[in-house]
Amino acid sequence: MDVNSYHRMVKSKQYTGFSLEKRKTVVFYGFISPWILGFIGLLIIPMFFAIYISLTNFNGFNLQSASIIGLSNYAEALQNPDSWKAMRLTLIYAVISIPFGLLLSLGLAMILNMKIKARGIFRTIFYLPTLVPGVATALVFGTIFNTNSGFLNLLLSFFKQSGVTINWLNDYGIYCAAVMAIWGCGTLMVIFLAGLQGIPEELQEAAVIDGANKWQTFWNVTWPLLSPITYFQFIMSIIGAFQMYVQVGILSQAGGGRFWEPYQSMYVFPSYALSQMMTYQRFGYGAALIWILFIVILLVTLIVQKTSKYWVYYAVDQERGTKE
Amino acid sequence: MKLFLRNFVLYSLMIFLCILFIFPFFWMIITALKQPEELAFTIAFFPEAPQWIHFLEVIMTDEVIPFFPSFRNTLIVCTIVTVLVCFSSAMIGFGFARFKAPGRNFLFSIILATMMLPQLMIFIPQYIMFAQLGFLSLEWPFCYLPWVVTSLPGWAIFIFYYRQFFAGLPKELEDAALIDGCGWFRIFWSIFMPVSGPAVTTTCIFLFQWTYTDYVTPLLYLTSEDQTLAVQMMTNTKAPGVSFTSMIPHIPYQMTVGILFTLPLIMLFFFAQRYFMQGISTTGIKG
Repeated sequence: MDVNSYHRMVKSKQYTGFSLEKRKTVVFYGFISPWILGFIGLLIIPMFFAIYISLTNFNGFNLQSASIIGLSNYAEALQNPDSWKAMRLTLIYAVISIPFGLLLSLGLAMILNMKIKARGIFRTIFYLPTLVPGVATALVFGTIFNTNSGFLNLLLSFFKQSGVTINWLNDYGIYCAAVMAIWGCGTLMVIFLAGLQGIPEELQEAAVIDGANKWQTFWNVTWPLLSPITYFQFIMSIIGAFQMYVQVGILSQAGGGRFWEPYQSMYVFPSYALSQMMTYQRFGYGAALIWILFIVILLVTLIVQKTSKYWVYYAVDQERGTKE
Repeated sequence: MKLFLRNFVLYSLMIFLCILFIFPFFWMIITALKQPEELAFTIAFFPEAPQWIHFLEVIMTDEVIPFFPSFRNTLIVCTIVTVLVCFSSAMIGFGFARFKAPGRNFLFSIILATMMLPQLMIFIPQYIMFAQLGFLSLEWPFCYLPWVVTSLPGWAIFIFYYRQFFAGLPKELEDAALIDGCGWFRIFWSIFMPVSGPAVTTTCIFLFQWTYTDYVTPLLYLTSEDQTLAVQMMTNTKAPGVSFTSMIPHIPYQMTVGILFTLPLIMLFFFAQRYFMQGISTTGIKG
């Protein structure tokens, strides 16, 4: 019996009473049922629950005693100067860590894509930092930026007269966190490197034969082909940067501070939201802050998406370009 | 001559960057070897007398940190997440790859959308709900229930990865088995899983790495004795025999634990480098 006659047999409904299509539908939903259950139980329900909580003065302990207070949590979030200060720090972190991280990893990937010696070793060295657990990374950077015994102040003591120290974590915390993030740009680099290696060499050679210099080749051949990857990584970096709070929490903990409530200099928006929940038991207000953050992330990604048609080139357009 | 100059600039730049990237590792070791007093009162680059004994103290005694119990807890959490997420993501990915059913494309686009959803938006509502359901005060081994529950539905990124992988396999694989009357789950488990070794390895490595380094989930869900090493290292490291009062006397010990905590991942990387690089470059998985 070959496959077709088997299918015919199943389709004729003598076999199971179900057509193959229906049977396949049932089996399909059977296979993906864990995801459907999880999607409803662990995503949809908690999210609606969080929306509900953001409208109450829930204190984290007793849901019955919480009363609905409407949108006043949201109103407070928009009026409170603390939340604006926290959002400003989050924006600073995003504006520093995203462009520098992307540019550095792209540059490293371009260099590693050239035929240089010891490529594998360089690649491994730049990738190694991403293997260090976040706690260990923050601990190391916490001691590098430490006021009393940190490496940066040790360097300073060589240049300035002794006694002049800078309290890096206290005064420039968000920049320290950005440096820490850029140190871990190895994954981005590997993604860019894979993208670069996927570009056929003939294209670049053709450009060179046509008399293009290095810059023109990059700008007109390499960059357009790389832009979908850059775009995706850009979006993911934005989402990551706007919800960054673990790193600053551990960094402040490594410097002797607290996790949920880091130093003022790195009191980013998610930290603010979480400390309202964990330290001050204001779950309603915290949930409202998290929803505001969600809306901000959504808006920023939408704006980037709208601009993408000006700088992201998809293969479809390329094909049309050659056909015309 | 021009080429020489170009190479000279290029390699100096690369070596300079390498030093910058390597430096924190170096500083990690140096700090671990310093005496607590050196960190508190003086600024010095090298330790006066390298305290290799810190490593022994961390491993052999319980005075610094309950190292092995915490490490065991980390491994428990890692095993739960790795096994469950790998299995269920493969199953769900298989469903999406091998069946044409109404609603399939719509559901798959939802999965892709959840990939873009900020983790914080899922994680915190889940925590509030789990807290209300009483997940926070459970005895061992039930304290690991949050990981079991959140792992069973698979992770979007790996569902996507497995779908791509299974969609690339030939249809003949299942046809022969179907004729022999094999059920779909048997087809998935006995035919498709055995041929997807590389995909499984890649998935397991990333799941292990992420769970191993995770800080917030155990901090929220676990209490002292069941706590993982990442949290214990930050919150519970003590400096034995240090009598002076200082803000951070335990930093060298913490750093020692940090090194011991990092080493398994670096070793894993050197054994399975191929899978790391493949995994990142084929899916854009980001740590």
